[in-house]
Amino acid sequence: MVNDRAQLYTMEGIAAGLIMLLTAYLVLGSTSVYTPGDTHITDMQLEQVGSDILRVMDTPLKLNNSLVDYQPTRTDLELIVNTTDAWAFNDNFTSKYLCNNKAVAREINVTCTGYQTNAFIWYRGNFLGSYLLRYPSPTLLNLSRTEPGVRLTHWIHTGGPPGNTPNAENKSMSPEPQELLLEVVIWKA
Amino acid sequence: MEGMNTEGQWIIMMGFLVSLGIFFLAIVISQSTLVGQTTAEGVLEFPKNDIQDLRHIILEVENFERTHCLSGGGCSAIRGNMTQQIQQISLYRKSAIVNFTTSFEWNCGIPATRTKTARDVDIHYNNGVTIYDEKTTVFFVNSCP
Repeated sequence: MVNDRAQLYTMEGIAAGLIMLLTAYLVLGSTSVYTPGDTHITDMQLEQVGSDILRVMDTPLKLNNSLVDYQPTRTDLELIVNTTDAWAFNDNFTSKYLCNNKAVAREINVTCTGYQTNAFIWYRGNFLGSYLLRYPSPTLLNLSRTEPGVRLTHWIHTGGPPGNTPNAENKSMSPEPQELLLEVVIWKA
Repeated sequence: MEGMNTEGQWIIMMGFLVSLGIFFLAIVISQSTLVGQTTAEGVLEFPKNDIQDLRHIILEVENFERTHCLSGGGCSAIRGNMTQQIQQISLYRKSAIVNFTTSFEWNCGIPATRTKTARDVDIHYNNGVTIYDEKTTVFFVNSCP
């Protein structure tokens, strides 16, 4: 006669083994590996700060009757865009706001070195076009140790087409108020 | 199996049930990272800055239209150009379909004591992932004669 005493132990062992296997499967499946490309937390902070800076730059310094008497250049940013003043843009954006510990981005000040900006302005005259407002020094385009950059956009309302641009098509825009899109890429070189 | 001592069957069964319970709890816990991740991604994906920025420029257009076009100057062409600039640049640079309308329903101080009046601005935004609609009201001091 075959001895069947071990049958219950066998079934119990199989059940326990299945439970352990499933547990291991669950444990391994619940861990997710976050690569630097997945975590946009620091990028988000920079993007938020950058957007806020652009908004502040596009706020009129004087609110006296600007709702009634429309002035062609009302904000710092509008003036910069109208004159295509690359130095003023970078100075305002980086020195006056981003890296100024008395301004918005106080937390960034600790490591506020080497931030680079590149800015484009998009317009629509007869056609859609763009021109460069500010570009970084080519020696700083070494991307070997660059952290991920962020792209910011800001709409600008100007009283007329931006002057001082090299684009002939842009100069042919009618002297009406224009809605321009400023596109800025910031990264840390 | 008649030779076996069967008194331990309850213990085995209860142990099995308890292990099943723990197992289901483990399933719930293992889902929590997934839930947290998808929620965070949903928040990240919402184009908050784009929409705030769009509101800002649309209210600028509304302001221009109110202060220039409605007080006698016929500038509906300029207003149309502004709309087209926002729409086309949005489509081209932000892959977003944008539309907005402003209401023309106001009355110049009827009754005559009224000094404040309001307009509605309808904003529609769709970038393929996020659809956002807003009706906002702009209050202003009535500048009608």
